[in-house]
Amino acid sequence: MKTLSGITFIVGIVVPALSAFVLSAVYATGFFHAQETSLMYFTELVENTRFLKSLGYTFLLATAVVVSSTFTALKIAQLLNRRMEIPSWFLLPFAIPPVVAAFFGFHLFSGVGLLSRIAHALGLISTPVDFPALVNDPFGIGTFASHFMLCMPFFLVYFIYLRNQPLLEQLEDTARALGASQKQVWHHIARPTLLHKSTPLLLVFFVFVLGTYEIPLLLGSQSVRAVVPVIVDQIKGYNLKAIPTGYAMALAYSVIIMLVAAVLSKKMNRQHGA
Amino acid sequence: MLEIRNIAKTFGTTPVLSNVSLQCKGGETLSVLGKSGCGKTTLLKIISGLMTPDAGTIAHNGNDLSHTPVEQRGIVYLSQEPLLFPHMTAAENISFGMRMRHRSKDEVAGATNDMLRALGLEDHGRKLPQALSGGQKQRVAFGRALLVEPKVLLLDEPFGSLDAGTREEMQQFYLHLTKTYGFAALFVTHDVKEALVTGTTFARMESGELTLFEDLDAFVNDPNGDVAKERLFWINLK
Amino acid sequence: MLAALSVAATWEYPRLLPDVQLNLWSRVVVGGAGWSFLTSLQVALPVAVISLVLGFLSSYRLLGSRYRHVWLWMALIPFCTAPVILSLEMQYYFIRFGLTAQRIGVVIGQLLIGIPYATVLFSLFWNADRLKQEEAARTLGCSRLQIMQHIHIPAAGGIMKLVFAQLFLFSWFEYGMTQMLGVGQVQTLPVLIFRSTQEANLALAAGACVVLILLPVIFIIFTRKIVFR
Repeated sequence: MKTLSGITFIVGIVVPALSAFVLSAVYATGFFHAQETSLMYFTELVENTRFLKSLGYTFLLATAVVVSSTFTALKIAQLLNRRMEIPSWFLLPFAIPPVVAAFFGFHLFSGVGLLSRIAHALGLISTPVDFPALVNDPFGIGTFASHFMLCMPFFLVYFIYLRNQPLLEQLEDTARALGASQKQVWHHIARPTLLHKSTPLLLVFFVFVLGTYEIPLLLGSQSVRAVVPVIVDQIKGYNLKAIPTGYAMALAYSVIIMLVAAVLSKKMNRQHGA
Repeated sequence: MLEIRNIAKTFGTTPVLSNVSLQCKGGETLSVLGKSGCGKTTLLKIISGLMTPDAGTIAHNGNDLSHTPVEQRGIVYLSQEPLLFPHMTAAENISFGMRMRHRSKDEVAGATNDMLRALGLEDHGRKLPQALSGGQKQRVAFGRALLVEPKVLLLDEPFGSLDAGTREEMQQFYLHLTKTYGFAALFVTHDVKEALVTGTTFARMESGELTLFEDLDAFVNDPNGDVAKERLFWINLK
Repeated sequence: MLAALSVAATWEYPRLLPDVQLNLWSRVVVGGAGWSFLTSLQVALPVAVISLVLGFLSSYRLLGSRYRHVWLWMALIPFCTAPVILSLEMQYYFIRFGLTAQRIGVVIGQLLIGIPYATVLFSLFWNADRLKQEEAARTLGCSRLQIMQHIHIPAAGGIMKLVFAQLFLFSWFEYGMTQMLGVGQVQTLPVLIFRSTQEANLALAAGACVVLILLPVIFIIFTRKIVFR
């Protein structure tokens, strides 16, 4: 049984992942698209700052989304009752996929979107051009807002769920019995425990935003773009000579994913290991 | 008769068991007294086959079991937690081993009912584990183990999670079972009184080394043992 | 807002509400959302079922392993990778075996994420308690196959429902990989939404959005209790 399980794991997970990695490495040397193989496509990644800029931007976006969603969700969880039944409608944002968030975000944040129309109705603007650019804007505000709408409700529900666990309740009661005020209990017991317990989840969301595709495709900045759309364009564009660089980018992205996955596996193993 | 010779086990660079040897006959209970972290759980896991030793042999009635898979050893391991299967009733838990051996339905039902009666649980057979008390759960765990007619029972602090009253009651219940079923058992505990009540032969385990005692007197009068310390405590109590 | 847009004949600036034509919904359904719903279902169901079975089996490797964190790490890599990147990296094989632009190709592609996804989720099930139960059953004389059949699978009922729902939703929502491997020929609902957005077919895109989220909403309402267990 263990052997069968090991074979399934290797055939279903390890072999495809490894072949994807090896094939990218082969592509990235120009084996399929250039006259001779070379490592210059890797050095191009560093020399041509476009990739590094988009990587930096995506890191920043992922950090901003996770940090702001975490703090907003924590604040709301603090304001809500300690033990509350999570209503079904709290879970409805879970039914929104990125593709719908992107579509919705576009019709909410664009110059002709709902917010702009409300601003017009309130007499704040007179034409769509007057509305601040939130879609395809240089700072990626629309992209950030759409990701925030996806992440924050998830974090909130998870924090409420964790707070409902008997262990945390007992810890809070103990702190209160030791003389801590409601505020102190939150700052010194509840919040650190929630953050500690949800670290793997926060990391998962960080890595998902790092790999975001649909939302920046519709709402993203035109100057600095998220890393995945950049890689896709590089590989699927009309310039065949650009393909090896695209795969070098994909390889670099995969290495980053491997590092994050290593941290995540350790954290998950510590919390749920056998 | 269970025979263990020169068992050794090291985790990384830390030796956990060094040259442990012991013997245990059918109908006998070898009480092993030891504090937590002394290597007793490792020893039991090695005997049951759940862990492989670095050196040494395990035999029963002269047959070497060192390379026999866990499920074929006939050595049942009972831990502090009863580990009842949560989706099965008490009766289903008890009959589990027999059912896995494809015994006939009538045979299983008869043996299970007899065992429920012997355990004093005839009214609780249809209950799920979560509806049973700690003592009842441990009784079911004993019944489940005994119904597979084990060659040896390995007991790792089996009453450790029970309150004092239930613990005493279960110790008496255990003595009753040993008389009725006549199995060989290794009973590991850190409780001096429990070791004295349940054991017919005695040993002490410290830092991975096992000391066997010839008889009860030698065990009680061991100058380094916990029995002596406990007696001294009561003598000096004013 | 999505529902209103799905019946929007026009939505001129600066009007707050669009001109509504309820009969547009028949065009939404005929115009592709109905077929795409079926295509999405034909992709998501096999992906969820196969990933569930293979993921449960492969995740069993984690139980009691000294290298559990390494196994978990290997499963986390494809799970964390953007599906569209994984499909670009694997595209060579799909072209070579004639699997592009076909539903089966998209299903196989999504399985490359679905199996590790299920493995990661099931890793929560293979915990210390499960190991103890397995050890107890083994000393009682059970083979590993019997333990799987009589102990682990019955105990995994709740988490299986949850993992199935998660896998179904992953596939139901997936766009990048489906577009890449399906080359636009496998028109699931997310692919339809993107295409109609690019073609400025507002009503069809919004209608497809409504159809896309309808099933998950029902799912969530019914699986709420399982999720919080």
